[in-house]
Amino acid sequence: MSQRIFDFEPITLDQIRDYAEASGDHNQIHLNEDFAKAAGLPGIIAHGMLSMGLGSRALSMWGYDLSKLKNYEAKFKEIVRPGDLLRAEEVRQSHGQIDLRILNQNGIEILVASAKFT
Amino acid sequence: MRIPEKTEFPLRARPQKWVVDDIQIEKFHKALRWNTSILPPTIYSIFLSGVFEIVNDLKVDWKNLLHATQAFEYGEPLSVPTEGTAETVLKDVKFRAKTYWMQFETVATANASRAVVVRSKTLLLVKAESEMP
Repeated sequence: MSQRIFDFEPITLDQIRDYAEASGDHNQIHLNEDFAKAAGLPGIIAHGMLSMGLGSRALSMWGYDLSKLKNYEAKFKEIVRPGDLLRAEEVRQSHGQIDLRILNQNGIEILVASAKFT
Repeated sequence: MRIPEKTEFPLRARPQKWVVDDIQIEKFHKALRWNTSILPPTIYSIFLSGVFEIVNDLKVDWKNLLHATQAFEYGEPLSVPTEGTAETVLKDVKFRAKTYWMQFETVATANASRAVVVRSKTLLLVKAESEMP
């Protein structure tokens, strides 16, 4: 099986704000640069759930029927910052389970996920 | 960070009312830069405010968050619009390797059918501020 990949548009501040609005998660580490730095972060970071959502978008782009999704789980491994370029890669497909990961522009895994379909 | 006594488990958040409608779905599509009619499987993150409520009540310092995992188990397909209720509990906190392992479970049910729409498990690993709990 050839490895499937999907490249996302660069993560933007507007996108992070849009995700805060959609999810209701207005934690200031996602919205306020000074607050994020005071919390020990390099600056504003994206929501982990935004990355998990992008993973589901990749699954759909690869042709999987999300209406048949039974389980979807993710481990958040690294922070995502505005400007990051993310790429989803399908790692394994076996018995209705798809494993994927999302890497940043430096090749660092920011998320690993698994989706099970009925 | 305050560590709950064993007798406090499961520690419950206030039940959260939720609505999934076309407007909500469109907000997720926009945030994910996704031009689709598909229901985003992570739209259920709107049910997770109970996790944040408990985390804030226990005064967890986000600086000490080391890792997190999130799992959704999907139940009855969601028709749109649907109103429902989500209940979050902190099931347990374990202390291992200088780290608190906080296990949350959220169950979201549709008001009309009473069916479970999604069951969510959230695990947060929080660095201990001192050597012993």
